[in-house]
Amino acid sequence: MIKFLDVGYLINCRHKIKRGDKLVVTSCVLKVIRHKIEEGVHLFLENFEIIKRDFVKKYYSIWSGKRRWRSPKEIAEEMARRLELKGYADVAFLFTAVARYYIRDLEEHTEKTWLQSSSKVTPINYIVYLHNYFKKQKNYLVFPDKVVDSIRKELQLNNIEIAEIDDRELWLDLDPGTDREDRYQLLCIEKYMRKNGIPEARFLTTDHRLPDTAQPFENIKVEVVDCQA
Amino acid sequence: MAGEAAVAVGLGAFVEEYSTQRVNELIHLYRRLQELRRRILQEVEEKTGADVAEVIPNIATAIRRYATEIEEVLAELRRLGADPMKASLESVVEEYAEVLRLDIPVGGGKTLEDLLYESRDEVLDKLHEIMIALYMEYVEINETCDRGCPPEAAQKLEKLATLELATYIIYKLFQRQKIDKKTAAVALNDIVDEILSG
Repeated sequence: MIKFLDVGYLINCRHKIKRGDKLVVTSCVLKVIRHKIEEGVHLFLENFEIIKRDFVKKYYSIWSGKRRWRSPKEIAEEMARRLELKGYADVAFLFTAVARYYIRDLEEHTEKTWLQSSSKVTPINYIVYLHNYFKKQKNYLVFPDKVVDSIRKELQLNNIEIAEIDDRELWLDLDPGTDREDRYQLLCIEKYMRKNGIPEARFLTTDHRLPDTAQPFENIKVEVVDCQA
Repeated sequence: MAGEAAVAVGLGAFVEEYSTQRVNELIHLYRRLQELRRRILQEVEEKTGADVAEVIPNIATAIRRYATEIEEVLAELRRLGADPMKASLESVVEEYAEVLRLDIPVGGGKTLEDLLYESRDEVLDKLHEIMIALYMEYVEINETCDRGCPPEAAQKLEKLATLELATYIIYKLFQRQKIDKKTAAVALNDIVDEILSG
């Protein structure tokens, strides 16, 4: 059975490939991720003072000394969780991607700067560092592409196919709405299936609202996955 | 007993005296540079008053005025076989790595790290941002300059050195209440942007 992966699945889950499954990610999914990372970085820079004060300082001030220190991935994961709870979904998305993927340039830079003598760093240093990293020589402009490149590499390593979709009209033809990105992903899958003569497929997602959005697409069966489980 | 006395004063005499003499010579020159730096900082601070926009031009003027004296010290360091640029760069990376462990005591059993988490001091936050920005740049340049600094890296170091001096002067102007907290925070924020701008 051919299974397509959505944005939420890709950013939250580890890929477990079962025998007989063919996993596919459309280029549309990667485009959505790129756009969301762009938005996340923009909002992180714009709300940096609030994020530093209300999330990092407030949360980590309950510990003292080295007990605060964590690995960069752990800090990113905790930040994503807290930001999500407080409604900063786009910034949370950015931190989830940082926690989940090996984003080559960022990882190498972090390693060189902080992790020479210890695998842990104090959260306030790491958050300020991330802020400076995005600002440094306008890194925020190229970072979304670096994330997508890293995801592409991981997909290739896991033998997950990346289907390049010609989406020129697909996005523009869509009515605006909160589920626009979901409908766009579904239309891309439908286009791919039509082109390759695939009668039926599954669409793996972490979004509980997606089955409703997918109702008009009868040959695409949505499977909601809980990656934390 | 005379033999024991000879051992006590003589063993390691050459190597210790030789290295001590060399270290003393170098220390003397680095102290001289530190003294010149303090004079520059004091002069710029006095000349600037409350006009933060004048900090950087005043630094440039002061460095030009002391250029001959600084050059003399540098020439002496080179004569002793030291590479002043490389030595400064290596020690600055170590110094920032040390400070950014944030374990400096600030009184009341607290450390700089505690202060950063507990206080809502805008100026302290900006100084921390500057420290990290400078550290990031120095680590990178130190790697680039491993086998001699290319001209663009040397140029960048010159810019960063000026911005470090400017940071200290703005901080002092704020401490002496010649500028208010908001002015200091804005000026320090501009320095962060300038450090990271390339």
